[in-house]
Amino acid sequence: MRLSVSQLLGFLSLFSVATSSGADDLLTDYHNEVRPILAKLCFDCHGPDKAKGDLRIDTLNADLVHGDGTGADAETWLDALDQINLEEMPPSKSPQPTSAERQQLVDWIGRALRAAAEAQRYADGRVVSRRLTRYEYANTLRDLLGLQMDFARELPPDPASPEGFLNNGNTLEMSGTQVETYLAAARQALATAIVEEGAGKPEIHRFEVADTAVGKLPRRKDGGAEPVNPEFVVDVKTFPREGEFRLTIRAGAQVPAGHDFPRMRVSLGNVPGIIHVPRKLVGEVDVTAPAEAPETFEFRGRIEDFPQPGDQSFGSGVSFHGMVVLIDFLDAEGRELRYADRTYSDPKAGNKKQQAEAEAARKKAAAELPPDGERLDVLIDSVVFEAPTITTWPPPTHTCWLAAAQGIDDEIQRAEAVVGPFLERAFRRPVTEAETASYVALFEQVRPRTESFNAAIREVFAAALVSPHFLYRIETRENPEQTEPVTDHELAGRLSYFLWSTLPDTRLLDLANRGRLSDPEVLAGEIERLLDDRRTTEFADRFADQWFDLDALDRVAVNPEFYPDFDNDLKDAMRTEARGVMREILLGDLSCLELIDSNWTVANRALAVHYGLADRPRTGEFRRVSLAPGERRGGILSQGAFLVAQSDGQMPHPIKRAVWILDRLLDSPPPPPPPDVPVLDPESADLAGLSLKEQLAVHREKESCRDCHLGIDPWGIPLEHFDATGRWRETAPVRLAGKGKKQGARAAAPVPADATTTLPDGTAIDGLAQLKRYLLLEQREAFARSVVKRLMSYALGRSLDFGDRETVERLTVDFIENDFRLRHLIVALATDEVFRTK
Amino acid sequence: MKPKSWHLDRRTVLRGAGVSLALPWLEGMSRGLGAAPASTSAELPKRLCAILFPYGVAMPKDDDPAREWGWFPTGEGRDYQLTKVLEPLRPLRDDVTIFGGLSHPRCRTMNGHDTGDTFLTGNNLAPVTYRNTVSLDQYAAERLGTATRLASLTLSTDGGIGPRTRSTTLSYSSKGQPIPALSDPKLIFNRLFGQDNASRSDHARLENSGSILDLVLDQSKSLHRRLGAADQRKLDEYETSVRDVERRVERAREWLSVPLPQVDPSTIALEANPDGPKDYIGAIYDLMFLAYQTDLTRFTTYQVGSYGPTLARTFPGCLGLEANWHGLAHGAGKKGGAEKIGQFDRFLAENLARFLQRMKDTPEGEDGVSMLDRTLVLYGSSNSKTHQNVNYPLLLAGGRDLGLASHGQYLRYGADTPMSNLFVTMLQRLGLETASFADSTGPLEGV
Repeated sequence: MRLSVSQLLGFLSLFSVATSSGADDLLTDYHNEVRPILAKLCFDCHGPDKAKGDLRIDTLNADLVHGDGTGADAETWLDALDQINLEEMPPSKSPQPTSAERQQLVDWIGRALRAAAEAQRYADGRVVSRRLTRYEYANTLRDLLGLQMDFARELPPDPASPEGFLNNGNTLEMSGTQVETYLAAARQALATAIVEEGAGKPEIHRFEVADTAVGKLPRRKDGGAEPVNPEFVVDVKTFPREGEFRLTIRAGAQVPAGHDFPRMRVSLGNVPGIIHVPRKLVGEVDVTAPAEAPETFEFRGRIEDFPQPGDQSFGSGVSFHGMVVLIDFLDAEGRELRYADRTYSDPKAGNKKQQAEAEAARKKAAAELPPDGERLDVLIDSVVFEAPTITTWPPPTHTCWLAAAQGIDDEIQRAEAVVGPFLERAFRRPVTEAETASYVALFEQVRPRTESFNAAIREVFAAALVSPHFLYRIETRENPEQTEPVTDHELAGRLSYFLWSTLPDTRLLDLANRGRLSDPEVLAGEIERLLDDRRTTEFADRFADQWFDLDALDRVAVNPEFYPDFDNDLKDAMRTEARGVMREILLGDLSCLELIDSNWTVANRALAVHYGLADRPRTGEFRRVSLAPGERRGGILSQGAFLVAQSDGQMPHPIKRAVWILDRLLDSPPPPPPPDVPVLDPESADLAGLSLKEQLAVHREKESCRDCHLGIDPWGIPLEHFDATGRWRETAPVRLAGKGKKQGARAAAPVPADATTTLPDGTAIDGLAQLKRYLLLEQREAFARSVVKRLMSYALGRSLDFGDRETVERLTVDFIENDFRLRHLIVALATDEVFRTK
Repeated sequence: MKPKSWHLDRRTVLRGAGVSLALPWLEGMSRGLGAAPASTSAELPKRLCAILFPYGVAMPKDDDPAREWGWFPTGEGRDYQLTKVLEPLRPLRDDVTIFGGLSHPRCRTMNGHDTGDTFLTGNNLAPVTYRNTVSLDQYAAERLGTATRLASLTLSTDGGIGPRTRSTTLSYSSKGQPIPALSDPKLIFNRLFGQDNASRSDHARLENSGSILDLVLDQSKSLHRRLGAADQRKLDEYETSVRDVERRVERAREWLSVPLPQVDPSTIALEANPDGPKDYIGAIYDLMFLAYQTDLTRFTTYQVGSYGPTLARTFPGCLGLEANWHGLAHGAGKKGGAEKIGQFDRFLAENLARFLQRMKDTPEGEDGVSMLDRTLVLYGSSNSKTHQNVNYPLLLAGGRDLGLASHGQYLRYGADTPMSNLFVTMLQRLGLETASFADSTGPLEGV
């Protein structure tokens, strides 16, 4: 059965969004259905005769969309909604609404409030000039200055919009602390990018450790390297305090038949005392080369991002010691390779008895392990540390931005020459003479207070980097009252921040400078170019992060009492999986229906093992893996990123999972719970001994909960076969009636997991496979519209409003006709009027 | 004669509990060390310190033999007995009130490990946006912090901001934005004493900042008429922020004329890092003490550990326990589990006691008043048993000279009493006329 839009919305009427609730429909419904109920139940006390509490419901304006202009009606309606939900009104002595009546009231007030909010948003005007997000700021500064630094480290996180997006202009805020942080970050970055004239090239610290042995413990004095376990520690004797470093490691692996490849983990930092604590991770890579023919790996980072020993400020002459590179290895499932017979201990440590015990333990372990040469082992052939990694001096950024000053004697003229080009790049548009002049004027103020021309220029550039023209994507209006086309430069910014999350490249700017970008053919070509570029993975990652709320993984602590074997690194793997699937869909020009169901996913070894897949990568690298039908995976609803994040760390949480499906996949979030809503408390005595479905049924016994939860719970129950770590389970634990005791919780007698339910439209569902089939067949349009709305919200950086309805419908039809292909939708959206106007 | 932290003579060398302070020939000295340059007030400082440790405590029942490792005392009122956990606070009994039953009602429905964010704010994080609200310390610092060089100091073992719901800071601005915490003792020391603000380059830098802010403010203003109404509001926010920084720069310039106290760093374990929790926690307390003693700030927070998988989670390893705080907390109900977490909680209490005792041993003003008497120290966790957002283990120390008269008691409250009531009381004791904070219903009765 293929449903029309209106039929579909009819089904979902309990949650239906404003899309179906035109102001006129709402008024009609009010007069036909809602007012008679109110008249029967409320008007006696809150009508012409009594007006208890100064409230008259009969005169309350039912046209919330137009309202009385003050929003006071909406406030009162919201109060009424809460009172009804809380069962405080009508008072218990008075006649009560039937369940159907209550549902009608709650539904209508909810719909009317949402429609009013959308109308209000539209009337208030759209925020189009939005601040760069934290990650956009970092990317932009990186690309502007050509420096790999974590510029956003000290910036506060951006709050998410109601739709879950971080790039919403209305939600993105500013504060004094932020401005201070921007200024400090700009100064710090510029100090690296532009140096003093005549400043000598910094000393390069370089050393090489070679001739390390596989699986042996050389004398500690030799070479500064000691393989243990296998684990290698390399002493970094001298190093600069800041700048980029490069670590070049030649390594190979000895892999017995049937074993997977090991994964090399490289950490760097100060390790006083205990050398076996890895400090900060530099990187991880799989070692697939054999030990006889090692492979060369290169890692880079900024040394100031790593913990350093000693102090810099008190001049106490502390020597640099304890700075180490630590290289150790994991097996493909992420477990550290540790061989008990190779545990290093100081032979002189402890008394004789302890020494003898340690030796005996080592011997025992050696007897149990395969001999050296037959076990998974690794060879580090050589390690080269080099910092700073300067190939050209002065730095390219220095030469690039100061080149225009060459050959000019007068400092003010030199400032004029260098400021303009920098402003154009930083502001992503041509600048006026007056703008350049204001920065030259700043130069004149600053120059007498600074020691050199270059130091003054750094301050002037820093000013550009805290300007609203840099920190915001400003889109100006000729006439604030009217829609108008965006300029070519604004279009360039919209495209690059949408698809690359960074500033436009020179080609985009060049096209904009020549006024060519708004040409439909050129625009279409540029969109394709951006999408073909590897940088578009930035879009896939960010969009997946925010649409699916992948950060929720960090907000769930998997309870080790329930899942002692769960490795927290799996959460990162699950995030990578969800992003990877989005990348595949985008780069492979696939259908978004693959998000609902597919016969592949993206996994590394550890995740494939966790899911119990037959197609297991042999390394920690992620790749596309195929899913067999019996493996019951495929689609976002079987991914850990959803199953774990929408649980509570102990038990699967069908309500959270249901709300996520309704909100994120079907764009019909349930109304917010009433205040004081009782949470489903698994410790509660009422619920002991009950299966989860029975618990939910108890929860629904409360009148005020029931009406909404009848529409929510069924969407989460089909996922009952997946536990809180996303693993398949046949049985679900039931807590015994021993209340509260954790022991009791674990000693529970399991019952078969029950994933059968009936959806609000009457469809009976048993398990995820049937739910997916139902979504694909019966909810295609709702899903399509959901994708369109989320993508529009992300691309435009704002919440959608009344004015967007036609666009949403047009794009939804087009999206469905074009097989739900994400790439097609992106092109359609980026060439649509809504993207090209402001 | 014991040195006094408050009335300092020129060239006094202070020996503050192990820290030698080559002290400050400050202009400001005659009117009280560190008082605002523009101020002539000789009033003694009123301070606030808030400390959180994560994951909650052991809560064995009264008839359980492991009861001695429960955090909460037995008995009630003045007639209470400390368990082994808070036993280190015994000498400070008359300077401490222990609370039972308090929590933030609005935060009870949050995930058990999310409430570090809201310990000092008292509000449920907004759904979806996770927007927070102002924290107790920042509320006070905004109103009272103008008298010192630093309005407040935010510290945590894990440093920075951390992810929402697993924040590594306790402090939130009036807009609910997290304030990055400092964690490295060296950096904290530098923040307090290290900058030579009187140097020429600092003068220049602050003046440059002023010029830069002027320029961008002009730019923003000239943009206004070319923007839609909603965009104009966003730019207003930008301008307010820039003006806010201008005021801070202005204040920093005023302070330039006041030399920083010279402090000898060698007696603080500045090399301590969180790998060695014993030295590290001690160093943090030393630095807070120093900041008070030199009156560089009056409002500090310290998060001993976040609820996230950060370094502080390994702290119990320093006592030979499993290096997994989270695991210990979850194991508190198992056989022998209460003792394990109890030992660690006792270790934390020992460190707190040392800090409080140092303040108590430091006279301030006349009549035997001590630094502790003029400082409110809030200490506790936002879980009782782990994951339980009720009945926070809490205590309040100090502040006798600020009118706190409840010490020597273990006060128990019903679950309907919001912890924010305690916040209101604390703010009032600091001299603010605050009537409410978050979900408070008034000041806390009995304090």
